[in-house]
Amino acid sequence: MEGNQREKLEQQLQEARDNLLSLEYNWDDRGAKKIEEATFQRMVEFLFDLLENIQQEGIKWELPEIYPGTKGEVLVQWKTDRFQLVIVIPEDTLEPAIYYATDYDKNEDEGTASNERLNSLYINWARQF
Amino acid sequence: MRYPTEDIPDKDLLFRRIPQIFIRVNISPSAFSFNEDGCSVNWEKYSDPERTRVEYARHLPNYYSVGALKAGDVRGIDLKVKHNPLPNEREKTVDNRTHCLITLLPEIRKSGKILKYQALLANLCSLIPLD
Repeated sequence: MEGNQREKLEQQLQEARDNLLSLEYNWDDRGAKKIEEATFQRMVEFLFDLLENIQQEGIKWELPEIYPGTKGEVLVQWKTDRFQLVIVIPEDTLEPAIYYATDYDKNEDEGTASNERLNSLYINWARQF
Repeated sequence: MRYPTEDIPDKDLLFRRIPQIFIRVNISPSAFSFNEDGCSVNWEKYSDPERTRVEYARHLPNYYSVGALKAGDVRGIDLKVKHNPLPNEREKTVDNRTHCLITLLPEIRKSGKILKYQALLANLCSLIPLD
């Protein structure tokens, strides 16, 4: 089961790698930057780290949606009809990741965070799956 | 030529050209990028989905989808919608009467916390079926 989740994530990341890293400058007609391999790799490491953590916690894993950002960042999103968690891995290694989480009601949070904090955010939100 | 700036009614639709790579199960929040002016959209009064998809586009039409937002819904999440016909001071060579801007409140722009608004716009946006 756990190996299967990792395999599915690897498959998804390979597809995302092919799509995102092949984008040329101005791919959105509005001056979007290319996605650098290093930025993509930081996102990969974050997701594998997260998967490992949640498997230890026995929490359900959902494959995220992975998107390019226009400033060279990579965006990861989990979205259901009950909650939404968006994480942005910036191109600049000195900048922290940014997140936005909402239950579409009273609970909403946006800020910057370390990988550890993002892991706990995912775990908190995923308990509501 | 310079066009007059008009008021946009709440019921009117705003179209946004969205590269397909921003669409998986949902629409990516990053489909709504803001530059220093705001986020560009086309007003339905002077455009339509097909024109939005192809005008000033650098790729073939099937590279893009087109999303629609209701002006009143955008205002309902504390964003501003204003008609910004081109040419203007910044884009003197483009002739585009349909151009509008979705803009952030000054305090939000200053805080840099725009991910929430990008996510809300993506959630409000409906994709329009095109051939």
